[in-house]
Amino acid sequence: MDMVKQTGALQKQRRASFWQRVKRHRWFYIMLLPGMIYFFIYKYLPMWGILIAFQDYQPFKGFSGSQWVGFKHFETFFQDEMFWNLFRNTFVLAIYNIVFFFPMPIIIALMLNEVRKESFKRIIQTLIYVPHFVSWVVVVGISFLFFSTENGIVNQMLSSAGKEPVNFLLSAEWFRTMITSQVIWKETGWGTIIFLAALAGIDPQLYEAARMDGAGRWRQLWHITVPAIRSTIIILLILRIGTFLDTGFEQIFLMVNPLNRDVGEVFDTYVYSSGITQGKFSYSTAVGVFKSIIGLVLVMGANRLAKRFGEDGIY
Amino acid sequence: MNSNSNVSGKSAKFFKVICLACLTTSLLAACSSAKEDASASSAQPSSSSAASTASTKPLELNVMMIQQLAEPPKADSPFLKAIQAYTNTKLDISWIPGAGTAYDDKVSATIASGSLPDVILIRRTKESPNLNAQMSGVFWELTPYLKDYKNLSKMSEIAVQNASISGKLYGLPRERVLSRYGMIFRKDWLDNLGLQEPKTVDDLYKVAKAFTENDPDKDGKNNTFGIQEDATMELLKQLTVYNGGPNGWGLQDGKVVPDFVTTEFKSALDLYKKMVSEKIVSEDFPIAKKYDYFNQGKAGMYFSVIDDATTRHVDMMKADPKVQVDVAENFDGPTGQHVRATFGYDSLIAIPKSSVKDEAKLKEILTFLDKMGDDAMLTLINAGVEGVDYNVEDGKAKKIAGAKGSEDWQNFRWGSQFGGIQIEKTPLETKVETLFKGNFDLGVVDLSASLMSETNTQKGADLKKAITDAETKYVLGALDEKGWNDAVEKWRKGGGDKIIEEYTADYNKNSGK
Repeated sequence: MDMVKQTGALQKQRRASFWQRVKRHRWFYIMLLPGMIYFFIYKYLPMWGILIAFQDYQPFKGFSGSQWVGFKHFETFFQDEMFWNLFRNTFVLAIYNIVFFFPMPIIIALMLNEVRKESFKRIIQTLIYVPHFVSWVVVVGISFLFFSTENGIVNQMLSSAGKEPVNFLLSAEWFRTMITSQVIWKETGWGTIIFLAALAGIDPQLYEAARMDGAGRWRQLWHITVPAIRSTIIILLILRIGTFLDTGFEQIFLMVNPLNRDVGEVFDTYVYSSGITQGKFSYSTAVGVFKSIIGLVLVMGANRLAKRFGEDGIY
Repeated sequence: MNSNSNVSGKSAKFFKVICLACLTTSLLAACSSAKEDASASSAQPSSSSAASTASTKPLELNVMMIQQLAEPPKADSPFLKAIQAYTNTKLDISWIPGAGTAYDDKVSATIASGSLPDVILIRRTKESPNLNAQMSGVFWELTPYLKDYKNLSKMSEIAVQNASISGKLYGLPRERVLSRYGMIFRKDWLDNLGLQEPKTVDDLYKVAKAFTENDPDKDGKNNTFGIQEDATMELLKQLTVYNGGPNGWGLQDGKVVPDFVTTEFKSALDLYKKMVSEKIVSEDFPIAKKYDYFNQGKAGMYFSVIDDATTRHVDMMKADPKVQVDVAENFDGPTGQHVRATFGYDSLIAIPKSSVKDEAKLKEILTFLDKMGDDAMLTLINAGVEGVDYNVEDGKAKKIAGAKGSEDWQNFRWGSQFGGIQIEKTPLETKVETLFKGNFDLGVVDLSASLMSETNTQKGADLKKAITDAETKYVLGALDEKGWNDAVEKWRKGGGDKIIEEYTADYNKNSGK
């Protein structure tokens, strides 16, 4: 009896202290409010929309008037012969992305970090940010100019070197290379920002101490710089894996054509072509939901793995 | 010490309040503007229906219309004033840019949202989203009303037939020239090489080959090729028709079949492949932009609607006065001459039931649309504003140089493009018009335009995409004979045979067999 009272009082106290805390920091909470409202309205409310994946959604009948069909659309999708093709294409592109693109900003950031002249470093930094602000339509347009067989610069150089022209844009073999190189060209510079910030946070005393002990450039890099940004790398990698299957709609949609569709069609473009253009809203939602579930599983898996290796993870 | 911290605390507090004020105002601004939008769109239909009860007052209408040029018509456009004055209406038009599928996506979203305008243009009316919308009763069925109107009762029969779904019309089809497809070519290149205008498919191939190999622009460089193509492979479609094959879907041995199962198509496909391998058609055509190579003086011909010749090469002819563009539609084939035809209409002007609740309002809107078919309105849309776009001298209407004409207002025209006052035309325009009129009976119409197939609605588009992909691969040599046959077989097994069956059944039903 006494115990119950005591814990009750404790809870009350705790609750009171919670509200007290809220009250004390009320301005911070109020400042937080717009962000929370944003997430609620634009991220959480629309989530109800995924319910149409379990319906035969007809726009004119509306959400309440459409028929519930359970997992029908998921079954159709898994049995669709496109499924494994999409799955493979998306995964291969994603793996290319992680293997070839992900290390790039790290390497560039490390290289910039070693640049002695501050002004030179600044100029390079600014210049390599620029491609990030170029839209995919333009990037693809530039690629067409460079790589087409009809007076594309690259092919003109090949032919003047006495080689056969290569049809970069209209062949299945070159598709993934093209996509990944475009991503590298466009996003590498932008990706260095976070790593450079992490590098700036390293205590210079560590380097001084290392130099005193006779460590050269490579030693310093390996034993101070890399460990210092390791947790940043891990966190970014986990976040990247969360969006593993987001291969980017625009870029791929613009690059795909009949000759490379076998390797080029991914979940995102499939959702568009079967959903918006053909009005199969429920089916494409089911595909989207499936994609999100895989993303969630991957994030959780990566996070657990990171923790097992003694890193912090993202939650 | 104490007072010091107090001061900094206060200033921090002040800072917080400022931040907060900024945030909330921006948030409120966002909220209120969104609200305004919503209330505006929901309020207008009701107010317009209230206003329209008095017949002397102008009829207020919300219209959703496609915008094809870079900028929408201005609110003070003389065309808007003329239309409103003539039809006694007050139009509130949402011009929606029509590049790619943007317009269709917007229509889908608008239908899904349920808040529709009074009048809406819907394109691709036989493809699933819009087909479903028509069949599930989103729009008024207009068939029973049309006979009561002076102009609407005289609409083009082919357009009505092709736009109908099981004999029912859910919008006004905008009439288009039927025999509209043909070849556009460089007359000066032809003359340079001393060649004659091609009269058969064989001639066509020879001319295209000469354009590729014999330096038709006489600059001493091997920098030209015969035919500009793009991903739509228009040449293939026209070659099939010239061979006597169907345009899309046609009747063969009592069955409604797609072009790609016919022998006429196969020989066209093989010729196409040959042209690609001989560099007559550039091998990057799947990513080429229509008109570009022709306008750059690299390609000597292309296949399209032939009125493109009068509108798409103005800059090119201005830059180089030697350039002469000409058109042709008539090619002799084994079964005589055929021209690839359109559906005879483009898009529907539809009236949604959710915004137009009663027959009275419907009839008022139909009266407005009927008036748009009067000579005065056709003159306005086809020729423009007198004194600005054209002048009448000695009973002849002459275009004023540099006049822009009706621009996007032509999207309101459902009547004939030859209606109203006749503007004096350039020789090329006259030739195009003569071909249009003279070849009316040679037009080969896609039979599926007026037929229904449940399977086609469901997965026709996916199936067809596999076929167009296979066509492209085959002509580029990425697919062999067997691969092509497999693709067709896969189409048949995947639902194609069923589509053939359903179309044939519907065709037999319609033709009363």
